[in-house]
Amino acid sequence: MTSTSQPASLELKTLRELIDFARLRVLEIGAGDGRLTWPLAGKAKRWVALDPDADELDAAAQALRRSAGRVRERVRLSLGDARQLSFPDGYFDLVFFSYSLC
Amino acid sequence: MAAAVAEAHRVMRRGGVLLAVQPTDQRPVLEVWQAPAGAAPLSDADAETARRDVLGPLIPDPDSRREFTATLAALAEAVDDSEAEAAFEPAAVRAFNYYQLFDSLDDLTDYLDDTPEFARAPDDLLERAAVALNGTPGQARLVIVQRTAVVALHKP
Repeated sequence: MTSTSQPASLELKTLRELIDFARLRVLEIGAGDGRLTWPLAGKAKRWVALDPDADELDAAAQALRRSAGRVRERVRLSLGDARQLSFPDGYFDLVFFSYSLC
Repeated sequence: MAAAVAEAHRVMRRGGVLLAVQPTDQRPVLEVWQAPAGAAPLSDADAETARRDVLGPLIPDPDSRREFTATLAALAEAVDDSEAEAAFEPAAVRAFNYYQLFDSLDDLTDYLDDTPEFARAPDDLLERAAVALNGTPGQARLVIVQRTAVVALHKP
């Protein structure tokens, strides 16, 4: 089997070197099935995982139910379009385009 | 600014960060990795220790290259948008190799068939991959290596 649904170690290392996600309010755009959400969200204050694809979010919801309690407490899955967000001005500390900015 | 970047800017506090991860427009390359005898199953963490042989480049879908160009353009516009009330400032850029590992040629071709928007493999490359797998004693995997960029922008 391939390992394509798993986050790559260099990918996570690079992201963690750039950003300390601890105690941040994060909006992840293009979260998909949550491949990058689960390993990164545990230390965040709040993590909104946004995706326009309901099937991807269903897969993320299943994975979320299997994830650690601290991740479940922090992560909220959201169906939506990055070009028209429903969040208030200045709400997030970090907006993370996960292979989705084009 | 592009609509998504403008919305990101709006919902982000001053001092916040926009982070974007995207494959670069460098052509992905197919390699075969071989683990040392008796080693645990290969993973992407073995990039430094496995024996690696380059088989050749894949042919990326033109749209994927356009996506990277569009991403760069959106980020550049976000930085250069002097008319915006508070545009972004460059903060950091990093690049890394993203490794996708496959146990067999069938796994690789299934993946490429399922993701035509990524890349395709010419027949001669697949032939070399089959020969390499068959000719490698012990544990071996096919690996797609994709150069990937992370860009961070700061909202002043």
